[in-house]
Amino acid sequence: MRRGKLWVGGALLAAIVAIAVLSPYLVQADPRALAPGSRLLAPSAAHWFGTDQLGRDLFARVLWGARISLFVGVSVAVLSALIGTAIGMLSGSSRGLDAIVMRVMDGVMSIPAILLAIALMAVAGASVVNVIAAVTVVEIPRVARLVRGIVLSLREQPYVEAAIAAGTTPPMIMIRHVLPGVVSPIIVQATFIWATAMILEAALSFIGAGTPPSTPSWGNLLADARALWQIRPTLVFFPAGFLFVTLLAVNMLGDGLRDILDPRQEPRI
Amino acid sequence: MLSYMVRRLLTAVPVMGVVALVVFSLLYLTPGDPAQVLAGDTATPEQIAQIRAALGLDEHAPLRFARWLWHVVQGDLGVSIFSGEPVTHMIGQRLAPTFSLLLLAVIISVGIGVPFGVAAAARPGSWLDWALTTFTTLGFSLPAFIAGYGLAFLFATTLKWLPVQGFVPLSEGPALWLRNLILPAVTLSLVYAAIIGRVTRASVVDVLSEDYIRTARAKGIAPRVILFRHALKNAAVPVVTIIGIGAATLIGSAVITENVFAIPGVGRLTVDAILHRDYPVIQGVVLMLSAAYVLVNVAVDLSYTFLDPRIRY
Repeated sequence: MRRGKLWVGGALLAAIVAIAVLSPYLVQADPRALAPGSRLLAPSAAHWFGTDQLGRDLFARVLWGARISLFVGVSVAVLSALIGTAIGMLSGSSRGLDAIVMRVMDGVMSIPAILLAIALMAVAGASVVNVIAAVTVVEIPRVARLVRGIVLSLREQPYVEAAIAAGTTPPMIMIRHVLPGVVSPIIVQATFIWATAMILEAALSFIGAGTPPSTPSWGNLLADARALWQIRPTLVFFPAGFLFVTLLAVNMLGDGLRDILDPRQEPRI
Repeated sequence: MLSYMVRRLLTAVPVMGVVALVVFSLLYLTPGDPAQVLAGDTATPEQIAQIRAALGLDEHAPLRFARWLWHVVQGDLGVSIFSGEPVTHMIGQRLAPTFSLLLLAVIISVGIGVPFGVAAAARPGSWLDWALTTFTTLGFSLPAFIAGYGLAFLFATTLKWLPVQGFVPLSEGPALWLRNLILPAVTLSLVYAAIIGRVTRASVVDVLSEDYIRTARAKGIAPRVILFRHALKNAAVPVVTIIGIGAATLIGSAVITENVFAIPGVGRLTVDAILHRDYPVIQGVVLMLSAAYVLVNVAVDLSYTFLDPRIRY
């Protein structure tokens, strides 16, 4: 039972990833193909999820959206974990640097995440790569803070002091003795960042500051549905449902990983 | 006490300074000419020159930052590139709906989260406890703007109890104001209330294991009195803390969710500004809402001394 969340979350996520990867084979329709004759259709055998206001097949668009959402989520998780860990370890190993870096991180974290992402996107312009960059910038301070805290506490550990006494060079101490202690919490944190990044991508696209409007991302599908969802609720239901299930899978995976890798860490509040 | 309040307020100044620097620098960190970036691909050279002049781009960056900050401190956030209107004025006009929404969401969240948390802590392992945990897990996976569609579909489109969209100022009657605002406010409260509930539960469970609670029980004080009189007050500090931290997500979610319910607040202003690439407006919104978040957390810090007299500074 202890590992139940890990397996359920992992299996669910594997299924969604499989659907996303195999989407070109699962659905024949082009997610961008317009069909003025078949607008706003209800779900049917020909169009499993119905069609949108331009006659585009919603099933194809939702599956395509899974690719974008997962790609953004994973990219942000990996990038912010790597960059954040580097910053956190540098900051935690030098007092002078620490004071400056942490002031900057505090400042960045005082800007509500979505607003910072909006500001970045407003300057950078709409594209998938820019969404990844903007959300990574938002998430880096959260990783850096976590890593720095762990580094500061590990530095006081007897085995690290022993390594210092034995004459190990500071870079070697960081890599060999401190980094292994950082890895587990970072993997857990990165999983939650994955989920957060997918939410931010959807929210940014929803208000027109994310992926370009022509890209069938879940956020864009929801934005397109804004005026029409009362006539055809499936336009919101399918992308929203897929996003919810994917987020649930990633969050369960994160909870499960935390229970195994980092049991001392408090449950996420 | 007063000197502490002043000192604590002053610690917010460097934080806001960094926020201002970040918001200001964003425009200049992107590759290329900022005036060209803001003007878009179809701009004429005259338009670019106009933006360049409006932003003072011909001067050195530190000087520009100093001048901009000096204006910001005086309450001047510049003018909109699109409409030429002062940004402060534009935000001011949109503040009432957003503020109403946030206030109502906080009231609902605390009003639901705290009692549920206390009830779950009083009976660990009960169905209520389980429900709170499950609800929080689900809530983390349900972004507010999506939950908003679900609630609107259920209570507005299907049951027709509440209006689907729109906003009515408080001046046109509190009942009408509340009727339009209750759905978006509940939407924003879902996750926030769950987080507050979880922290309340954890904090009350902690306090209930303290020695003085055992003493109170041994003395024969009614469990209800122990829970509300002895435990709740001592459990308040973490709860207030999470209310402050959660305010960032709440403010961010409000900006997005306003667009689901067509509320003419800061969120709508933001979307319009994105559409017109109106960077001074976005800059102003980010700066203003970040300042609100920082101030909320200063207030949270100050509240500690009232909640727990042992905390002295």
